[in-house]
Amino acid sequence: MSKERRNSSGEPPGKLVSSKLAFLEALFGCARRSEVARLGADWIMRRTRARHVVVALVEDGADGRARLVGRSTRGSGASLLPSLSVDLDDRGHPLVRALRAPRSIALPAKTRDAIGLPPDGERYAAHALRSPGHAAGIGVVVVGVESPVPKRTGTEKATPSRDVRWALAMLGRRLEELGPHRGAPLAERGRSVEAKRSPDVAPREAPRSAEGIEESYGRLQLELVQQNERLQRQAVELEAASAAKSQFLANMSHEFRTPLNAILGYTSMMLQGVSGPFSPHVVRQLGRIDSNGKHLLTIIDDVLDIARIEAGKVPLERSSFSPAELVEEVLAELAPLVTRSKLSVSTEIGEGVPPLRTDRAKTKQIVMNLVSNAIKFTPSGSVVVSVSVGAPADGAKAARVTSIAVTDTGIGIAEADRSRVFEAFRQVDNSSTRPYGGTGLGLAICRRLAHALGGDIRLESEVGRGSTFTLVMPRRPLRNVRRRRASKAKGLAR
Amino acid sequence: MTKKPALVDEHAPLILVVDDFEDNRSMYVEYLQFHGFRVAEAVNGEEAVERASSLMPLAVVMDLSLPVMDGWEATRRIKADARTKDIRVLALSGHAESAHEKRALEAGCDDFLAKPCLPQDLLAKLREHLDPKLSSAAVTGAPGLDSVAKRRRNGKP
Repeated sequence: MSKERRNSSGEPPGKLVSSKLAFLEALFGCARRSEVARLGADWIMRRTRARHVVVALVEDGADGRARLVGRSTRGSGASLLPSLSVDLDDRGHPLVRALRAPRSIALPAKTRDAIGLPPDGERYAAHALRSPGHAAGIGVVVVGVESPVPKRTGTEKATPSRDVRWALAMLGRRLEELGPHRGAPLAERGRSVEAKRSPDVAPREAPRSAEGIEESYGRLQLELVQQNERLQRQAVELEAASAAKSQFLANMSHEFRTPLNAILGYTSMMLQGVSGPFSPHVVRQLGRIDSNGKHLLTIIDDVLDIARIEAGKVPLERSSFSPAELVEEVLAELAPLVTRSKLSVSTEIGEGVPPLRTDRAKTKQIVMNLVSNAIKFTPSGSVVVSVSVGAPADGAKAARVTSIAVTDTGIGIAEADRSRVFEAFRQVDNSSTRPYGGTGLGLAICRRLAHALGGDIRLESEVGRGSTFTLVMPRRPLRNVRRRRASKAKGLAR
Repeated sequence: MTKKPALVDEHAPLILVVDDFEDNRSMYVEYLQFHGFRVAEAVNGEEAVERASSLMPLAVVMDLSLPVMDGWEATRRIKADARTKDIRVLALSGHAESAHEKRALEAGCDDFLAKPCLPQDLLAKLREHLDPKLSSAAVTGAPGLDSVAKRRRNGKP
C-alpha cells in the first residue's frame, strides 16, 4: 500500500495530469471492449509498477450464462488468459465476490494459483469495475503489487490508490458505454437501465471528441438557462411574499381596530352617561375595561410597528431640522408627565450642533420614548436630555454623528440585562411591567427605528445610580456621508 | 333612554353614518343622536351615495372598506355631483396607514379619522367642520346643538 502511494506520487503532478489525459484520450478513442481493457491494464500497471494486471469482464457465454472472462494480463504484454472463465453463479469464488463487494478485497493464494498468476513476491488485490449509478460490477481488475506475501490469506481489505481508483472509474465508465453489461443478474440489469435513463443519476461523461464537447457545452447552456428561469421565478415569488406580508399586516391592523373601536367607543359612551347613570362601582369597572382596552390598542400598535419596521415597510421622509428644537418639542408634549413625576427635567444643548437630516417624526418618536421611559423609571432625582456633536467612545468617527442622550437618576439596569431591554416584550423585571406600565416594546421599536435611520441607541447604566440612553444619529443620510468621504480622500491625495 | 325618533328634533342637523359593521355604526348613531343630531345610516358605498343625494345631510361619516362600493369611490361620487359636493365627508377608517389617509384625501374627503375613534372625538371633529353651517342652520330656525343636548340630558324632549 505505502509503496503504491509513494510510487504514484513520486513524479511531478504535471506529468501525472498529462499521463491521465493521454490515458483518457486513448480510452475514449477506442471502441473495442478488449482493447479498452488492455489500455486500462497497461495504465494501472505503469502507475502501480505492478507486474501483473488481470482485467476480467462479465460476458455472456455461448450457453447464455454470464461469466467473468479474463482479458489481459502479465507484464507489459497483452497476452490473453483463455483459462480464466468464472461462472457468476459460483458465488463463493473470490473474483465473483470481488465483483459484488462494495470494496476491494485481497485475493487468497489459491485463487491466484487458479487464475495462473505467479506467486513471485506479489500480493493480488481485486477491485470491482463499476460505472456510476450502477450497483453491479461489470468486471474485476486484479492488480498484483510487489510486497511480502501475508501469512494470512483471508479476505483482508485492499484499498487501491487514488490514481488506481480514478483509472478504475474511467475504465468502468468507458466499458459501460461500449456495451450493455449483459452479465449482471436480471434484477440488477433493470436497475442499471433505469439509472441510465434517469437524468438525475446519468453520469457526466468526459467529452471524447469535438462533438462530445459541443454536446456537453449545449447541456451546460441549457442548465444555465433553466437555472436563470428558476432564479427569476424565485425573485417573483419573494416579491409576492413580501407584498403578501405587508397586505397581511394592513389587514391585521384593520381587523384589530374594528372591534376595538366598538369596545372603546361603547365603554366611553357608558362612562359619559349616554346610556344613563351607573353606580360608582360599575363606573370603576367600566374604567378598567377602558384602560385595558386602550392598553391593548397600544400593544397592537407597537407590535404592528415592529412588524412593519422588520418587513422594511416604514416609509422614511427626510427633512432637515434642529435636534435642539425637537428635544424642546418633546419635553413640551411630555409636560403633564413631567409635572406629575416631580422630577427635575432639564436640557443641555451643546454648541454648534448642526441640523439633522433624517426622518423627523421617527426621530421624535425615539426621543419621546427615551424621555418618557427615563421619567417612568426614575422615582426621584433628575432627567437630563443633552444634544451634542459626537458620540461617547467613538474617536475619529465622532465628528460625523450627533448624539441625543437621556440621562436619569433612576433604578438603573444591570450589566446582564442591558442587551435584553432592546428585545421585544422585555422590561428587565417582568414583574415590574404592571407598576411601570407600558408594553415593553418601546425600546425594541426605538432601536429598530434608529437602525432604519442609519443610527443606533447606546446604553450606559449603573444599578441604583441611573441610566443613559444615547441616540446616535449620522448627521447626514448615509449616501451623503459616503460621498463626502470620497471627496475628502481626493483632497488628501492632492 | 335614547329612543330615536321621539326625541329627535326634525330641524336638527342631519349626519349620514356609513359603516358596514353594525356595532360601530350603531355606536356613533346613538352618540350623535344623544348630542342632538338627526342621523341616517348606510351600510355600503352605493347606499351612501344614494342617501347623500336623497337626504342631503350636512356631513357624511364614511368608513372606507365597504362592500359593494368602497368609501373612496363613494366619496368621489358625492364630491363629483354638483348637488352633493358641499356635503362634508369625514373618512373614518380602521386602516391607520398614512397611505390610506392620502388616498382618502385625494378622493375628496374633508378629513380623516383612524379607528379606534372615540365617539366624542368624532363629535369634536364634526363640530369643527360644521360650525359655520350650524350657525347658518340656526338662522333658519333650527335649534342649536347645545340646546338640544341640554334638554335631552335633562330628560326633556
